[in-house]
Amino acid sequence: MILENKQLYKSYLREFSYPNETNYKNAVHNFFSEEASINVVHPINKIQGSQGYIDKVLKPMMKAFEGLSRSDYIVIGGNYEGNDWITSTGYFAGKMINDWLGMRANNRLVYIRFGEFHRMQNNKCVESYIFYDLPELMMELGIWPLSPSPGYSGHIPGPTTHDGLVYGESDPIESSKTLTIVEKMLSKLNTPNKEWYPYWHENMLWYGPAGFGSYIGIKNFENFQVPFESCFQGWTVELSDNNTIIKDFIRVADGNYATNGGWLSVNGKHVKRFLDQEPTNKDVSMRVCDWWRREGNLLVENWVFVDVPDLLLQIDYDLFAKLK
Amino acid sequence: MENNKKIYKYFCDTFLYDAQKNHESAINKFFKKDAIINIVEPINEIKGSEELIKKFFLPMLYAFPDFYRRTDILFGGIINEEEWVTGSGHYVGTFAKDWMGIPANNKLTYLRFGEFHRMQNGQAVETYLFFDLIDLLRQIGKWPLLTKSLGDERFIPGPITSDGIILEAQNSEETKTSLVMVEEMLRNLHTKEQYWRKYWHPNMMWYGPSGYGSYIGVDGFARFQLPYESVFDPYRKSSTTMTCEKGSKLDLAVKGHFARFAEGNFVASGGWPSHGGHLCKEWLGIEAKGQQFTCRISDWWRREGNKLVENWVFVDLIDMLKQLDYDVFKAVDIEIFFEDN
Repeated sequence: MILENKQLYKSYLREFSYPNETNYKNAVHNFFSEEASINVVHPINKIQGSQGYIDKVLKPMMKAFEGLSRSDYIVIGGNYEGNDWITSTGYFAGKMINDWLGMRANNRLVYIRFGEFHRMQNNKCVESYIFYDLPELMMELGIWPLSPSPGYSGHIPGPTTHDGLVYGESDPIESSKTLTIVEKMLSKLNTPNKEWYPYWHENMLWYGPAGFGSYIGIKNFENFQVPFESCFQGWTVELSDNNTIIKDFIRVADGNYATNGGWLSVNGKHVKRFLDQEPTNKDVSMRVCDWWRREGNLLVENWVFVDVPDLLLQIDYDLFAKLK
Repeated sequence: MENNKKIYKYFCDTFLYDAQKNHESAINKFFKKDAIINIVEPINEIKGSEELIKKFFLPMLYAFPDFYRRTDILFGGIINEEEWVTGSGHYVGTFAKDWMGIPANNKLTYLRFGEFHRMQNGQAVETYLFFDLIDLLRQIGKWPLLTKSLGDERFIPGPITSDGIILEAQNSEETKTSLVMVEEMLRNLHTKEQYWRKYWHPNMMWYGPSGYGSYIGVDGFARFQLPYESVFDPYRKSSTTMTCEKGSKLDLAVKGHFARFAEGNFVASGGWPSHGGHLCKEWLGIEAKGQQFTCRISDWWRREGNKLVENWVFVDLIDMLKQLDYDVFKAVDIEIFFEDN
């Protein structure tokens, strides 16, 4: 099933390398079910079905970005608790000729980072989670209204090894090794003795969302991550809020790569200044996702999305309203 | 040929993660003791592996302690019976300490590189190293040019297809098609009818050096290329045309390309300097006074079917501007110096 889904996704993506009116629409109708439940980051949020995805997401994008093309640098798949998933991350590139989501066109070449997760059933996608790094685009357009990221902000490259397009079958032993390391590392986050340290290469690369920034080296990552966690008291991943357990929708590995995604995953109370926002004492839940690359026994690269505009909205800052 | 690539790949991989520990032995192994190493301005010529370590790598590794190499393109070729390997990508690290007088910003910073090595008996004997130091200055918030960039200033990614590391032997027909297409396209630059356009995919990407910027689409590229073609007086010299007199100062200054070869869908070319002329129109804010200038250049192209789709370009703009009496570093109050080791 996983291999078959990968092939379906591969043909879907092929139509997006140089999309035009006909080929991309056909590709979307072939890949997505008519009733698919599609979740996109703020301010797009919830969309129904292939036609909705075309009308609400792709058409406006095609209109805004001339010569839009898509390039994926990680494609992996797997089964999580009985569900088949396919996921990828990379960039759209195009010349921004019309406004998009309230962002003024600059008539220049711009890039949009994306991460996508698709649940497959009977050769169709029935459920999707789609991340765009809109703050990264805002920074590129020079309209980001908050302070710059503490780390590097800008384009995030693909795997150093260029082997992220895993269309074939992976050795299950390697996959399971990757998953084990990732799960152990995640379970040790936010521990007093930094027990997550041994799972990372000292010179690891952490490619964070714009607003957070990218870091090289575990110490530099720690210098960002620990203060970030401390902004949200009771930092928990995948735990209960009002006794409701919000589970991550995916956690799988495929060869040396692993991924994790939660649509409301990291929880905590906003108790410290974060992205220029004074503490609100509000409980927040974040839409987040990750891809990791393992080399030997260590994690070496980590691509991360957080739906920062959605998180800001939860603490009473409407990023898109500030653009007007 | 395949062996050269293996040797080069091994060298590149030494700079993954453990550069601090392994660089010295890797450099001594890869470069011949008396290799001629040419590096962009302000470094210029270095003689042999020892000096390369002392003058270049040690200060760099000191400035970027967690230094790490990301190679996006790697392949090889033979031209005039010379064996070459080439690579392009980024060095990345936390810019923690000043480097050659360039002030550190203590952030993760990308330094774009491109390189060519002529190989003999498994070692590099002649090397050309390109770094985009203007792009580094841009990242630390010190834009050094008189004008804004002509294009879009941003990180330059590797091939859209993630297939730029070519270790296996390629179909020789494909290789030939790529090389012929690039040579024909180059011959059609500087033509009134813009015949070069037909070789490109309408959505092509042109990744230029910082200062020139990047462009999407043939029309985007034309926005750079056409004005650039107009800054030369009638006398110019490049790998495909010469309108200056044989034996003239310009003719002698432009050496032409040191290598041009293809492998599979990829083509590489480099000239030190590759072309030159006299400035007859304002360029990058520099007043035209007929100054002679030459350009050190390197290019990598990717072909898809019967079109060129991506083009990565380096121009040693710092060297070019120096010939036009503009000191890029002085413009942002940086005094370049090399530490004595």
